[in-house]
Amino acid sequence: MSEQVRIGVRAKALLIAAGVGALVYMFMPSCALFLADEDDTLCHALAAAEGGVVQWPVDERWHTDPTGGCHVFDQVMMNPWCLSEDAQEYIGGFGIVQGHNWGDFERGDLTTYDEESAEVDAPLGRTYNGYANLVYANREGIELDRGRSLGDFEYYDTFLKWASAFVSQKTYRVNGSCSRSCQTVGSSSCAIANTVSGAFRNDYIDLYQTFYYDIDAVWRASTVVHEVRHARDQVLHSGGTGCPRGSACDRRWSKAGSNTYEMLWLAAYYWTPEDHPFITPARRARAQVLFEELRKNAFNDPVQWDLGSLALINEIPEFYVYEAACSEDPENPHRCLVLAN
Amino acid sequence: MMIAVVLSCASTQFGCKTQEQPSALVGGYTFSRDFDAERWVLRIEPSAEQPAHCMQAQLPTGEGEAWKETTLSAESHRSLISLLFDEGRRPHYEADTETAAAIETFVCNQRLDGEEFCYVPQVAVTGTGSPWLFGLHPEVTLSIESQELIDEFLSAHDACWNSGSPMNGDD
Repeated sequence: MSEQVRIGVRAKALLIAAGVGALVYMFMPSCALFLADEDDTLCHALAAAEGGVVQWPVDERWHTDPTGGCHVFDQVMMNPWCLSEDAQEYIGGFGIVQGHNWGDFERGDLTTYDEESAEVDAPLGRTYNGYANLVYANREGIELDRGRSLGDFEYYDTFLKWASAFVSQKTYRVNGSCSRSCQTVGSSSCAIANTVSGAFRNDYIDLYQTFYYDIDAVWRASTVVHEVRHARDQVLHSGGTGCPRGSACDRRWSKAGSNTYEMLWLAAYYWTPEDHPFITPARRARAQVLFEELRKNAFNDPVQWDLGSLALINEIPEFYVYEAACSEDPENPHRCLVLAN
Repeated sequence: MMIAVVLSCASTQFGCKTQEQPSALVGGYTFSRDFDAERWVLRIEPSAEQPAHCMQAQLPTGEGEAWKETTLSAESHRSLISLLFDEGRRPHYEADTETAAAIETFVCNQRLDGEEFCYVPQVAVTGTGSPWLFGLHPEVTLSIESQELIDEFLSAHDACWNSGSPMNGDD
């Protein structure tokens, strides 16, 4: 074999090895260790299923709505996707279909609901209820084309439309998980979700039990926006432990991190017209509370404006994407001048 | 060159070279006070058996602020919870919150790097529905009920900060 041919074969072998390595890396799971504990009531419910019937958990450990009024967001009649296969396909297209571990939850359970409360009861269905807030906050619903350039503000002429496309285009995979990931067993300080991203890899978002059962559907949707900012964009929390919630802090609004994006989406959701067919007063009120809580707790430097400052977010979305959130150049304070803290 | 690239890829793939970003759900009730260029925070949970967490730091706070945890005395925990959920006090908290939201006056100082840093002298309580805000400006007069809640928070914070054990960084 000539020297030239040998080099060619070696190069091919190396290329194949690199290709295999890249594939392994793409599907490599998180390095986080999974340990089922007493908190993982969903994992235990799945393990105890008889004849494929799971007693889904109802122990909502933490719910900031003291009246329990947010439960209605999970009711089957409040979620148009339940009756439409096209809508189910559309929502699955946000990265859920590519996700891992959903098989544990039985796809057939997607639209099951509790007969007494009429609430969608399976984790996958409750995940869809969360995403439904991203979809139906736009009057176009599933007719919205999520594939256009994120700079196309003639088409994405409200922040909510843009955000739906942003979530779609910046998500690779959304995984289910039955674990609960709380600070201590029995604690209500639990992780909702976790995003893994990095150079040369496909990002993924793991959703925990808390996502399905401890928080309401509007909060699920804003959490998705939050996580997606970590995913493809790889914007990490910059504030360490310096904010009142003690973790997942961003240093300031103008860092345009996950908390900023989550608040922008909540503000846009809040500032929809009063006659909105999907955003009921209860959903709107929930968005307001979540916005205020983030404003007070999620940043090291206090945010200097309020919900009223974002009243035009659906009229001039490009301003809020490019200027207020400083997403193009977070280090340039002049771009953030109007709303910066 | 090619070998170097492949080796570099391989070493990346088999390590944990990823960035994990938990989105924390901070359960329970959070009291925070920005006042006199300091931030005090206390987080408690509905159950007295769960530890309370606290932080105390100069403003502006940095990335690595130390937190402590402790189990509050049952009496202190009960007192805070009953003040939070006493229906008779709610109108007073709401009225003071309305006032605080209406006059959110920022106090601004220069940072070491020359940039301006601003905060509102205020106590914020979250986790009970809509956040409660209590202004700490000299021109604001708080209701007795709100003042009692703040005093109980500060006393529980003192107990946590003085007797708590340090937490391991980020929670």
